Amino acid sequence: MNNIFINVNNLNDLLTAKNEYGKKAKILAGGTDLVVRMKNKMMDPEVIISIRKVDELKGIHSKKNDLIIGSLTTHSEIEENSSIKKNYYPLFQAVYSLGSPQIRNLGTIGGNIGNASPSGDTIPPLYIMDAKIKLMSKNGERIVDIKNFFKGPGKTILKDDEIIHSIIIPKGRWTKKISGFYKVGKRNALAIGVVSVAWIIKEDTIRFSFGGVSPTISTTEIKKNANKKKVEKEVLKAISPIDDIRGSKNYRRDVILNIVEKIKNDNP
Amino acid sequence: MDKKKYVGRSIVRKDGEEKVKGSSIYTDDIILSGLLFAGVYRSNVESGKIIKLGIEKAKKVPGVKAVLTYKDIPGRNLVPVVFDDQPLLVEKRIRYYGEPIALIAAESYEAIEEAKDKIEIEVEKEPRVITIEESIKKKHIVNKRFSENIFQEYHIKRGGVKEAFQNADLIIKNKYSTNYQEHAYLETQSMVASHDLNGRFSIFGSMQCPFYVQEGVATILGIDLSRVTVNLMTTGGAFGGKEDVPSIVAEIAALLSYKTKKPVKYILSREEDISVMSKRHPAYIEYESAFSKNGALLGVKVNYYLDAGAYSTLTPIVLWRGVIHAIGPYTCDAVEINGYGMATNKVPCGAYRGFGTPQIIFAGESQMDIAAEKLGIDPVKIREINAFKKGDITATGQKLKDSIGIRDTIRVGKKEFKWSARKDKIEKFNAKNKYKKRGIGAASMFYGVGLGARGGPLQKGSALISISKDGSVQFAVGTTEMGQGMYTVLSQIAADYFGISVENVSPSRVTTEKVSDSGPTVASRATFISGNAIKLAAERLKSNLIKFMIKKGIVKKGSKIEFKNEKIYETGRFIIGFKELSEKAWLNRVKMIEASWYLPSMTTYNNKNGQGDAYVVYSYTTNFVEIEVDLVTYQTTVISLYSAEEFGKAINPTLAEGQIEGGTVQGIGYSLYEDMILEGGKILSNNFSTYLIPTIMDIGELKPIIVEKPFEEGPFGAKGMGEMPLMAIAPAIGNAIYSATKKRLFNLPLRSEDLYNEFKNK
Ligand SMILES: Cc1cc2nc3c(=O)[nH]c(=O)nc-3n(C[C@H](O)[C@H](O)[C@H](O)COP(=O)(O)OP(=O)(O)OC[C@H]3O[C@@H](n4cnc5c(N)ncnc54)[C@H](O)[C@@H]3O)c2cc1C
Repeated sequence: MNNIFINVNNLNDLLTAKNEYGKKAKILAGGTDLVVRMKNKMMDPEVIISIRKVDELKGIHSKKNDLIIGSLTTHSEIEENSSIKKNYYPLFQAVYSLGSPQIRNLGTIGGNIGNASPSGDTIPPLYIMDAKIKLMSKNGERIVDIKNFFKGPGKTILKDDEIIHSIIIPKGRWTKKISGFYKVGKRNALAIGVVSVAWIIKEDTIRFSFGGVSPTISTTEIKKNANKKKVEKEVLKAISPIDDIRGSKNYRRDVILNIVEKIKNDNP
Repeated sequence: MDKKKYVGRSIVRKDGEEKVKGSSIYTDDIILSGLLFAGVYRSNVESGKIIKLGIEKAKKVPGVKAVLTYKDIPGRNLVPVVFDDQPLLVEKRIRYYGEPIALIAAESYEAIEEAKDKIEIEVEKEPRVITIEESIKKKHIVNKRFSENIFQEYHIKRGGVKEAFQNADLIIKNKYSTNYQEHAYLETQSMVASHDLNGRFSIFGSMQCPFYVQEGVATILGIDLSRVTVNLMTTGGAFGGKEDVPSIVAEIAALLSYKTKKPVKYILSREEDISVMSKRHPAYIEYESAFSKNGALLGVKVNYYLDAGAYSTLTPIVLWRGVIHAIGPYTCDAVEINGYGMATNKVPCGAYRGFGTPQIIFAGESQMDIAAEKLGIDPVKIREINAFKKGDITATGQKLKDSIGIRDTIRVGKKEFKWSARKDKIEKFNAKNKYKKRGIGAASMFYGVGLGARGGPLQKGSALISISKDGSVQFAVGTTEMGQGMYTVLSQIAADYFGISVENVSPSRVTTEKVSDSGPTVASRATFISGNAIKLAAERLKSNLIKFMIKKGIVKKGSKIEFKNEKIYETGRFIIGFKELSEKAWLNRVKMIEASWYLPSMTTYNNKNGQGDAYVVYSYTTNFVEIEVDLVTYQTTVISLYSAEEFGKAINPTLAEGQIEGGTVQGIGYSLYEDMILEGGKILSNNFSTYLIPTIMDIGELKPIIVEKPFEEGPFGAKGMGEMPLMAIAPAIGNAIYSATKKRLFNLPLRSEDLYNEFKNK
């Protein structure tokens, strides 16, 4: 199809355009998901709105209680941010292992969320850090808990006229010592996760979120002193893996269990 | 070493700068006026009969200039290879998913896509054969011409096999299987065809074998071979994947060009390329080995099946090489090897670096390790016990005479790798780590250089060399540069024969117009064959110059004349500069151009009894690898991989190391990452996000080790080496996984899931 391509220069124009074209329009951020889908004929939007010049959506800002990441912030920018590396370590690890340098230079956190893949790497860390997402439209804005944002693979609660404005992470000290992200890909770069696990220790419990083992990210909390059986029960309650081209259901399940056990063992 | 000599020195490759700068001209860079693009309408069933085919609507799509079926072929509907069973375009019977049915030429790719949608087809599905097992059981006969579904079989028998197994202390019997491997060359298949003067055709493209392409185009158009010129463009990788199938690509472009009277460019998308171009054959292997308790290999019985796909293409040759090398570089007096190339309703398989041997080496070298453990012998030691020595006899009864480097590769590699010390270190590592286990493994192999007996009339090579009046030298050969560095290596060889600077030697573009059919650029033969052809032509030119100097009284008849340091010496005394001599010779109308014809020594192999000399000479490799298995994910990572390779003489050590590193990475891919997934006969992993090749993050430390044992017949002692680096990586890694986990995997690739299942089913 002959797509209409619109280049917007600021947030206001973006919201106006999205208001006008609504459902017919797809937003192009880095394009590393959208363009691939278009090439594979999985998608053919009538209108493409490029937001790459919308500066209001870029950057990482520290507020009193929150860390705010603009949706158009690239994975490279997140990777290079020293505060994220120090205090939001699972997110750092997620972007550090995402794709390749080229993909990290182009791909954005908003696109990773907007794509709503069960194996989107930034999503499990955002889950365990209780992130919120700020959505905006010509008619207003709303802030939703990330856990309520996804409806299924590729499906979100975004309305036709809405865009993702930013990600709001409550301030925390999730350092290397007490948190992490574990991605199992089929190779060490440029590999979509077969499964992924983000984790944070909070006093006597470990909070986990799992990618690639359920239609959207799943979470669970496990007491540090829980026995193996109990752990297994909790994890299996949270996940519902399936067979696909990247791995079988059983392999996914057992690898998740192994990772959980290892994290528990490493953090007695 | 003489500073002015080039052989043995790592000079920068001739085409290095243009490649780094991105200024090399590839096929896709060709723009000609009136150029049309080609597309192919393909089958979407594995097996069936075409009942109806309608192309009229497609012809009417704006921008479409031709839609052709087999009926439009002026010559023979054929892709000539060995048995001539593959049509270019389906006439009635479809035999694989993606088989070409109609060709489209148009002004744009959009018009091609639209035309494809407008083609109407009715197909009656027929039973299909997908696996080797189904093929053996004759679930359906893929092609009536091969009534048993067997394209080709070979049988080698030597010594008392029955007795050997009766007298053995240990018998090991296992089944192995291997998956496809995709070449993953950076540049997909590409060809441009255009009309020339007087009904001639010019082809420009990416390929290994211009003379195959020439035959393909002449066959499809029904014109004389002499009316087709094939020109090699910069070729972005091939690895065997551009041996026979470029003929298909060129035939398509040529046929469309013939009909439209316009130049036509056909370039495959990555998805199309992976789906329908050749690959490494999947294999099924039954391997039985007999050992004495001191580790001597007493007997081997092998049944080797290759999944050839729907047409025989190169299967007869690929299978032959696998069968000849089935035992590995070991003496064994009792062997029975049966090889079968089986037809299936899938994309035809073809050549890929190693040519039917990596599959069987995986089996044979795993067997060696299993034996070593059962007998309590170190895995390297058991290879030393059995490795070839001078005078030993191969499975085909060939007595090995010269340049036998297997023991050297084991000795040198083992020392550099610190096999024993590493073993101790790993034990400590494993005792300390709960979730990570390391292991080491080794694998050895030998490789018959060149085409060997099965190459028949193709075992030859030609070179055309001319000296210009400024003393610069230009040469043309019939083998191709596809990224491996042939232009550079041959320039070094030519420079040393003339004793001139390599800067003044210039390889000319490979084309069928300059030299005669020199066989294909495969089987690691370019340096050996074209190097020798250059030697012969250079000797003739030098003799012309010497005769001229004698005639002019510049040198005396019968004295010792040397060409070195860009000068000519008579019994050690400087006489004249090469440039000056060239100019003088030119002024005096001396013949400054010579063509040569090189024929390697004859082989004696007899296909009836599977006995005789199969190849003129062999090269040798031993790999040593350390891996780490993650017991959380069951994934394996390569820590370090040392390859000790003996191939006579390294003309350019850096280029040889580059070959070793590149091949090793492909071998790592074949072992651990590359897993073709199909649904029936349809390839699902048809791009690089689903067909995973290793990245720079996945390969660990690579260490190429070159061992030299010059071979008298080779140019400056060189044999051949391009394929070896890939070939024995998989068993080394498989053996290392066993050493780390005590779990053995019998199927390639060595999947994490399979290892996981081994742990589950313990
Ligand atoms: C080779 C390769 C490797 C990859 N590896 C990984 C990996 O390891 N891990 C991983 O998680 N992903 C990976 N990806 C996927 C992709 O790169 C990431 O999901 C990336 O974050 C997408 O960001 P983008 O800006 O490119 O999104 P785009 O392609 O521009 O957009 C993606 C989707 O989100 C929507 N969207 C984008 N921005 C907004 C916004 N502000 N508001 C509303 N909707 C929006 C778009 O309309 C589109 O539907 C890979 C992709 C490729 C091509």
